[in-house]
Amino acid sequence: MHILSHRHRTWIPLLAILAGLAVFWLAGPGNARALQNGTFLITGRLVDSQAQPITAAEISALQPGQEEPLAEVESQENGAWSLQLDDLPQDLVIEIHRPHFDSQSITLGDADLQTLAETGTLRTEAITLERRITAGFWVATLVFFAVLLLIAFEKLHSTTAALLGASAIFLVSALAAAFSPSFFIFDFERALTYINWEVIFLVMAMMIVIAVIEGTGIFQWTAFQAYRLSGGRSWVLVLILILVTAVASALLDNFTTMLLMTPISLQIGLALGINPLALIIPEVLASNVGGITTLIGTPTNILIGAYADIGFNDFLVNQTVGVLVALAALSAYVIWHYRKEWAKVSGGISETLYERLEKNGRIKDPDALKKSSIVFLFTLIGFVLGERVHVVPAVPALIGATVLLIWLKPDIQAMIKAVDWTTLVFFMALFMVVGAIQEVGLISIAATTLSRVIGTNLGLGIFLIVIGVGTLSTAIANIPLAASMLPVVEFLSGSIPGGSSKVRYYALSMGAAMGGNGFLVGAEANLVTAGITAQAGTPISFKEFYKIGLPVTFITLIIGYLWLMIRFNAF
Amino acid sequence: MTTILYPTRGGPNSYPNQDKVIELAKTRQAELVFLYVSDVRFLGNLGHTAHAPVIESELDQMGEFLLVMAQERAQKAGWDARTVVRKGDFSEALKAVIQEYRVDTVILGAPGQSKAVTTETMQTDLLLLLIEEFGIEAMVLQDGDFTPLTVSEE
Repeated sequence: MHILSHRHRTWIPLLAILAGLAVFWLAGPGNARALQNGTFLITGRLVDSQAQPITAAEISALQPGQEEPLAEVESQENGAWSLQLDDLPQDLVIEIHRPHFDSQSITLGDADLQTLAETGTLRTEAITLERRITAGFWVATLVFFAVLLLIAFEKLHSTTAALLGASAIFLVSALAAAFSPSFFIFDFERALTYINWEVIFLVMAMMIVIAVIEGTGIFQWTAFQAYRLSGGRSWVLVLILILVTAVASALLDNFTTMLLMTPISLQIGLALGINPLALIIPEVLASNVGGITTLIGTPTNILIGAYADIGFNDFLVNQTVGVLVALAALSAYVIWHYRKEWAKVSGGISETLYERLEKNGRIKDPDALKKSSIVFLFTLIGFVLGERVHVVPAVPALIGATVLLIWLKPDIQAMIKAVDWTTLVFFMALFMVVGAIQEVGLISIAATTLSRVIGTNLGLGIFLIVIGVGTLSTAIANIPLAASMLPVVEFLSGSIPGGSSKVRYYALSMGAAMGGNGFLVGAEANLVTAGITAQAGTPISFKEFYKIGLPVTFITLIIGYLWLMIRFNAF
Repeated sequence: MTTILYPTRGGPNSYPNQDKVIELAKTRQAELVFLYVSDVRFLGNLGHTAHAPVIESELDQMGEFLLVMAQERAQKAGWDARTVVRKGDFSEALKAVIQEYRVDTVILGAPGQSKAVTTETMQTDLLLLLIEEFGIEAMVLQDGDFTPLTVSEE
């Protein structure tokens, strides 16, 4: 760490010199060339009333009274724009148009035109565009909340709900051209810019890696070894299973972890003569918390990481201690909650049952396990080292998945089927729906309102995000929640002191994942676990889950909040 | 020797019913077959059908384990039982096993009483269908009592 810091210090002056040379080159010879070539450059930056950059605005330079522009350009991601003119007329007007904002027309004064004529360039001050609440705003808002409700009340499958939302937005936008431009939200091309392809490719690649690993029997073997290690003491067993599940969820994902841990845990619980849910519910609670420690542990972390440029190491360094403390508290609580169960242990199982357990808990494909472990290890190293050379996590994940396909030569059709396209389509459609509310300004309004409440109080901001998102996440699916909260958190991080540490993104990560423990419907891992236990005549009732889930949620949320306060010196 | 078929989920809620069925088989000196049917359609509701092949195999193993437990209960009660694990649609699996094992009596645990596999209407309809199709005896087991079902002449 020290060596790296020293290296960075060495590079900083060198970079500064290079940057200075670049500026000199652009400002000096560039101008001369502009004059020589007879071209004139007008540059500027567009921001909204919260000083956030405005992208994709149309900026055109016109002569007064003329309709044909002399030059046209779109503002970039950072709101910057530059117009290049071949000739300099006597009068010049800059017109700015952007859906959902008031248009602006700026007539350049004599001084500006003189500067442009003398130097060949004119840098304007940041131009602020005011938001306009259009009919499209209300449509996009209505569609967004309708999608959330359809998912929350399971009226439609989440993918269908998100696709319906995206289609409704496109339909309204298309009809807007024919009837009233006020209904326009965005076009398809613009909608595509909201899809985070890094997320899509990372999730897809990890699905292939997981598809290979899940068939090896490693989860079942680990659970059986936990049973052997515990020596039949169920409270020891549950502690080991909590740890195993948390680690597995951090390295793979909590849905797959619970899918494979539940059947074997259920058998162990029944063999021990205790209520198997006393093992399984703590496992699912631990899986939702454990995933927070890494970039790939939860879908929400993948979203947050890609959006806020938070890498594998960052999650590990900034979240692990808090998660471990939360897991310790979770363990203590479940040991107390199920205290009557631990006394029920039957004292031993028959040889037949033990043999059956051993058979079900064996490694099914040692060769695939060996190869996939090697590839997975290198993929993890790729995550860690990739950040240092600005390689996004999707790249090592894709390379890892490809190496596995080449090395193991699995049936490619089976592997393609193993990719959960429903989830990928859900992500794409959801990005568009959330993009729509960003486009019309709903996110901006929400962020402004929240920033007024928080002010410059970093601790209050962390508290509101951890506890607020955590509470919402108990009932609302955490992926759409996190996706819609990301632009809000981005705004808060940029506008409040201390926000640059990205602490608010970690708060979002903790809130979204830990909140999933509140109710049975709070996380997909909970639902798949309930689906499997129901197959063994041991269903998890809504009440049974929240009686333990809600206290654990709030205990872990408070620990998460306190940890972030300590880690980022926010007290 | 007649054959009794009892489909079971195998959890602790099933133990009282399993004991009753074992007792009946013993009384009738009938062969007892425990059936477990796994169904991964719940993954479809969650939109995760990609995991179906792996979880199907896991549920089969779980079913075998649950039925070994039921078999041990029978052995402890002094009676032998056979076990069958099937996957897919419950009704279809049930029909196939009835034919394969030449079943004379089918017993289903009453829905709601022991978190049984079917709803009450579904269960009655299914049992009546089985009586008509295979001419077998069908009973519902509720609160420890066996209620035989018959097809009305009308």
